[in-house]
Formats: sequence, C-alpha cells, structure tokens
Amino acid sequence: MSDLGIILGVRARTLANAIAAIRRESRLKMAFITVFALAFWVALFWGFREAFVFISKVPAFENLLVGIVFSLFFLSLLVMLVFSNAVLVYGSLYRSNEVDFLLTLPVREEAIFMYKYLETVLYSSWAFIYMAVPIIVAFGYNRGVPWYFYPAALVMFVIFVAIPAGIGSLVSVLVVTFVPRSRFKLLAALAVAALLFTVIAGIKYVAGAAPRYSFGYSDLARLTGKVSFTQNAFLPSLWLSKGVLSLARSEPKRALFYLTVILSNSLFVTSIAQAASRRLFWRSFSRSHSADAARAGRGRQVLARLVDAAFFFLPREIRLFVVKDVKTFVRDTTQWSQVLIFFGVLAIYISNIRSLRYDLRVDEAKSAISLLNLAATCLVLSTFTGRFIFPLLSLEGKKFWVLGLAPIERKQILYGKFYFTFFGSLAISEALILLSDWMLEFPASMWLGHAVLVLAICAGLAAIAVGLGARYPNLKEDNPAKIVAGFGGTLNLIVSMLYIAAMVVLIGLPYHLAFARRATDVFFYYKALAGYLGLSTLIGASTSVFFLNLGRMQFEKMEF
Amino acid sequence: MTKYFGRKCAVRDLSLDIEAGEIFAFLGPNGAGKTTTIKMITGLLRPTAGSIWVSEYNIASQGVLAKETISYVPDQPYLYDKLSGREFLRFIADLYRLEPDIAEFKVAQMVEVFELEEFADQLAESYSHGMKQRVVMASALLHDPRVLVIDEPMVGLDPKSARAVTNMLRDKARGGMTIFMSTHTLSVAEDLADRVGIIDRGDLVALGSIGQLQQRSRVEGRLEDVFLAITEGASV
Repeated sequence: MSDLGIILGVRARTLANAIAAIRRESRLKMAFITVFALAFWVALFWGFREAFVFISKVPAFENLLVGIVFSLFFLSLLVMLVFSNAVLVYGSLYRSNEVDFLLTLPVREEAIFMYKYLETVLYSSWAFIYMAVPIIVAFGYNRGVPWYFYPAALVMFVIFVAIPAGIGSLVSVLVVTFVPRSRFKLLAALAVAALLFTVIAGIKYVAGAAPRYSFGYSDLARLTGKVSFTQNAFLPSLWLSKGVLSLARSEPKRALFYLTVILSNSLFVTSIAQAASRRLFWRSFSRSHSADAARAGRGRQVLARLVDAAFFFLPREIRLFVVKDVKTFVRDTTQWSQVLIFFGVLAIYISNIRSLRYDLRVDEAKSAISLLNLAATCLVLSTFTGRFIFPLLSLEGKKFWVLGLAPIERKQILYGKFYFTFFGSLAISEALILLSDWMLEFPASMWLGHAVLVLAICAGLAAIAVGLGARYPNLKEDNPAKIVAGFGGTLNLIVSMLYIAAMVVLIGLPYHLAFARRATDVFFYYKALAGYLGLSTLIGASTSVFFLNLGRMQFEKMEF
Repeated sequence: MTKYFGRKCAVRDLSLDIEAGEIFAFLGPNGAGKTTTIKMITGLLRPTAGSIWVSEYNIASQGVLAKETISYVPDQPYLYDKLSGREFLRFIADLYRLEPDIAEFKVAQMVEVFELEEFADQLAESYSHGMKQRVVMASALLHDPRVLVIDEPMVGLDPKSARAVTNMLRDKARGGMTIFMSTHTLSVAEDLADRVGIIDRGDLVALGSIGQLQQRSRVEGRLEDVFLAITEGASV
C-alpha cells in the first residue's frame, strides 16, 4: 500500500473510533446536532422551493432566472471555498502537530500534502453538499426532473469541490513559501479587508438593479446585465450551473460534457497543487517554522492601558484579568479575524439597508426586518461566546497554579471573564442594532427598546458562556475546539440558542406587534414598551445572576 | 550546519560526526539550539547553510531513505487521540513497511518490553504523559532503526520505566545503534553518554568524553559542575 493509503487508512480508523466514542458518550450532542441539521435542511428546502415556485409563475423567464440564481449561488460558494480552503490548508499543513510527526517518518512530503489536501476537500465538500442538496432537491421537486438528476448532480458537486480546494491549497503553499512570515498578519488583515470590500461592492452593485416598488421586463434586463459576470465561460461555477440545468432538462450528452469539463479541470488543478507541493512543501514548512519569536508591540501596551482606564469602575483584580483577556484576543489572529469577518459582513449589510430600499417599506415589514437583524446579530454573538468564551476557563487549566496561588478570590477570575465578554459584545451589538434602527428610520422609543433588549441578551449570553464554562471545565485539554465539542460546549450552544429564541420571540416579537399597532392605539404601545423594558431587564439580570452563580459555586470548590 | 530564524542565528556552524554504536548526549541551556538541531537532523527544518547526513543519506535530497534508518522520540509525544496504543504501533509498522507477520511479532514484543498490555487497547486520549512516552518509545524501536534521536528520554517516566529505558538504550548502542540524546537531566547523560556536546547560544562550545571535558574545563566534579563552568565561561 502507498504512503498515502496507509495514512488515509489510519485516518479512517481514528474517525471510526471517534464516531464510536461519540455514540457512547454524548447522545445529547448527537441528538441536538441531528435535529438542528435536519431543521436547517428543511428550512432551506422550503425557502428555495417557494422561490422556485415563484419563478415558475413566469414561464417565459424561468430558465433565465434559474440560470442566474444557480450561477450566482455557485460563484459565491466558489469564492468562499477558495478562501476557506486556503485557511484550512494553512492550519492543517503548517500548524499541526500531526504534520510535525509525519515529517519525521519515511513518508514522501507529497503524500503528506495530498493527505491534508484530501482532508480539506472532505471538510469543504460536506459543507458544500450540505448547503447545496436542499436547493437541488427543491429545484428537482418543483421541476419534475428524471431520477438520475439527483445522483448525477451529487457526483458533479463532489468533483467540483476539488477545484476551489486545489486553488486554495496552491495559494496557501505559495503564500507561505514566498511571503515573509512577518507580513502574515498584514496579509490576513488585507484578505479580510478585501473580502469585506467585495461584499460592499457586491451589495452596492446588485442593489443598483433592485426595483423600487414593482418588477418589470426592464428590471429583469437590468438585473441580467448586472450579473452577467457570472456567465463568464471560464468560471467553474458556470460549468456546474450549466451541468445541473442540462441534467434537469434531460440533456444527458450536454450534462456529460460539463461533467467532463469539471472533472478535467479538477484533475488539472490537483496535479498543479501536487507538483507545487513536491517542490515547495518542505521548503515552505521549514520556512513557516523558522520565524523569529513574536514580540509584544508597544501599541498593544497602550491598548492595555486604555482598557485598564476604561474599566476604572471595576476592582483592580478583576481589571487585571480583563486586560489579560483583551491582550490575548488582540494577539490571536483566529479570534479577531473571525469577529471582524462575521460582524463586518453584518455591519456592511446593515449599512446598506437604504441601498436595498428597506427603509421605504411599510412599518410592518421594517419592523420584521429589524427583528431579524437583531436575531442575526445575537446568533453571531452566540457563536463567538460559544467558540471563544466558553473554553476560556478550561484553557486556564495548565496555569491554575498561578491562579490557585494568587491572593485573590476565585470568583473575581470568573467576573473578569464575564465583564470582558459582556462589555466587548455589548459595544459591537449595540452599535449594529442602533445602526439598523437609524437606517430603518425608527423612532427613539424603538431605539431604546432595542438597546435594552440587546443589553439583556449580551449579559445573558456572557453569563451562560462563562458560567457553564466554569461548571463544565475540561482542564486537561489545550485545544479550544475539543473543549467546545464536549458536553459543556454543546449545552452552552443549546442554552444560548434557547435564550436568544426566548428573548427575541417571546419578548421582542410582542413588542414589535404592538409597535405596528401604535398608530391606532398609542396608549397600548407605551404600556407594551414599559412591560417590554421591564421584562427584558428582569430576564437578562436573572439569567446572568443564575448562570454566574452556577459557575461560581462550582469554581470556588474546584480542586486542580 | 547553520540555522537562522529571521535575523537570529539559532545554530551557528555546527559540525558533528557521530559514530555507529555511540551514545551522544547533546546538552545546553534553554534556548541554546538543541531542539532546532534535532529538528534539522530529523528533517523537520532545513538548515540555512550546510548539510546533514544520516546513515549514508543526505536528509535534504534523500529524505525518505534517511528517515527509514532513523527514529525520533520528541519530548512532547505525539499520538492520535482516537487510536489505541496497539493501533498506533501497527500504523508505524505499516509506514516502515514491515511484513505483516513480522509487524505482529514486533508489536507484541514492544507491548511486552514497555509493559503496555494494560492500556494498549485503550484510546490514547486517556493516557498520561508517561504512558504516551512509553508508546512513542516502543514505536520508535519497532523497525530497529540505525539512528535514534531522543529529546528528553526520561521526562514523565516512573523510576522503573526510566531504568528500563536506560538499560534498553545501552543494549541498543551495544548492538550498533547510534543514539543522539538531548537532555537537561545531566545524571542521565553522565550515566549513558560516550561523548557529550554542549551548545550555548547556537555555538558548540564543548565536545568530547566526560573525562576530556573535565580536563579541558579544569573542573574535577560531576558533569553538572563541568556544564555550569563551560556555559558560564569561555569555550572549551
């Protein structure tokens, strides 16, 4: 068996053992993931089915519109996959203990590269297929396609994924080989800026074609013109779009042609990436591990002093922990880049609300949009608290001799993490939600209502993540992803989701309904506002106190 | 060989020739360049200048051939969390292309020698540092390497295991295996090493048997005194 075969064999064995362990250990986690995945699939299927039903009402333009939807969708996925593959390959090739280990064995570097490349294809293909399957099923269901459409489309997707994976891997290897490591952070910042700029440009560009009140032939022509770049014959996303449409139209020869184009290009890109790895992988690996040690910048010391001054109202011991966590956050590219990308995309969308003409809609629609914006912001925030805040206390595990011996009360460590999370998330979330209210031209009462609700949600999410992090710590693990994947991390995810759902649906929604009726019953509206403010504050405060106490009780009696 | 990390020189003009059957102890203060040297010998890093020959192979141009003759035991042992110790040993046997019946025999032998039976079928995620170290040590010897590179051989081992490893290293060296060992436990080096090299801030500042180093440094005491005298004074 080849080197690659042996490594893939052992990988399959680790996967089988991991699945067996999950089945034994965490039924709750499996059940939650399955239910959540199915619910998301059903929602996506339903949404796209409705869209395809709507499109099919205009038979004359159905093919044109479906072509536009597919080529835009696949192009967006192509761009995202190239970006995510480059990042994934960098992490798995140059920042993995496994590669360090494999390189000391008599294994060709090319085989190690191909192993990590295939691993990346697998990671990205399952996500891509997970997203694409409900769309394709919705399309096929609506269109009444031949039976072979589904398996053939699936094969096309799997082969297509190798193209962005190959390009992403190549970019990663070339960057590590030729860009000095000292410029990596600058490059990461530029890549994030380029991504955000593309989103801004995309919204502005397509928004120019958005109709004001009605949709006519001239609007369709304008829209077609605006997205004509997706029809470039050299784009792999177009080959996939045309291949899928040919299958749906029962044109197997044409579909086979596009399948062959995708397959040959996948193999071509993979061969180039493999050839590059043969020449460059060891060189780039050695280079990536030969950088001089990073130093704490002077600018960040200034930031630390600013944070210390800004939190003057907290006891000194708690402030020390807040400053430490801020420093860690700023120096960890993974953390700040993810926050920047997620909240950056949200900020761009919200700042373009007027370009999308949402401000001109009726009050009910504006109210629904603002509530959805609030839910989206809080959900993004919960992914951040789940991924980065929940494991914070566990990650102190190896340093507990410092914390355990320090002349401070343990609860102050807990409160330090809570304040860091609460104020950090509050600043971002309030800014986004108030921007949304301004863009939608809401009155001051709505601003106030949203500000209080966001405050309550931020406090609750911070307390849930910190409290459950202290209640279910994993002090043996260094890898935050593994800490998050355990029982406590799953519970944190579920509780955070339920908390957001409760706050948005049970408190936010009734208030928004009252807001829609304010023209006819203003007294009722102000009563609803008062109740809403009181209830938000009460639930936010009681959730925070409950979860912080839950964590504190466990944390204070914990033995290390 | 020389290795630069950015502008910092981690290892400067290091030239070493270690014979078959020799136990060589590579010593130095923290950050002296020991791990960098080991990473270059095992093919993890490319030297900025110079070349490394393991057995008769150049590690840069004949990496796979060189690595077939070498084994590396790092100070932080790497195991796949979701593989059992026995599965890990079989994986290593496959990578070194041992015949299946020989592989089975060697795995069973290593399980017995390193007393892994009790936990060999548990997933490695439940192992202590010492258990991991024993499995990695077993995997390193599975294919009878000609060269064993070992970083901190005794870290995490209980006294019984440490004694077993000491005896095993001696036996292997007698059988012709070259052992390149980096350690801060000077008593281990004193006990085992035929020759000692001391590196400080990237420069090899001393090389020879313990007796030779005592003579040159004019220190009559233990290796610890010799080491301190050398690293705090001039080159010997």
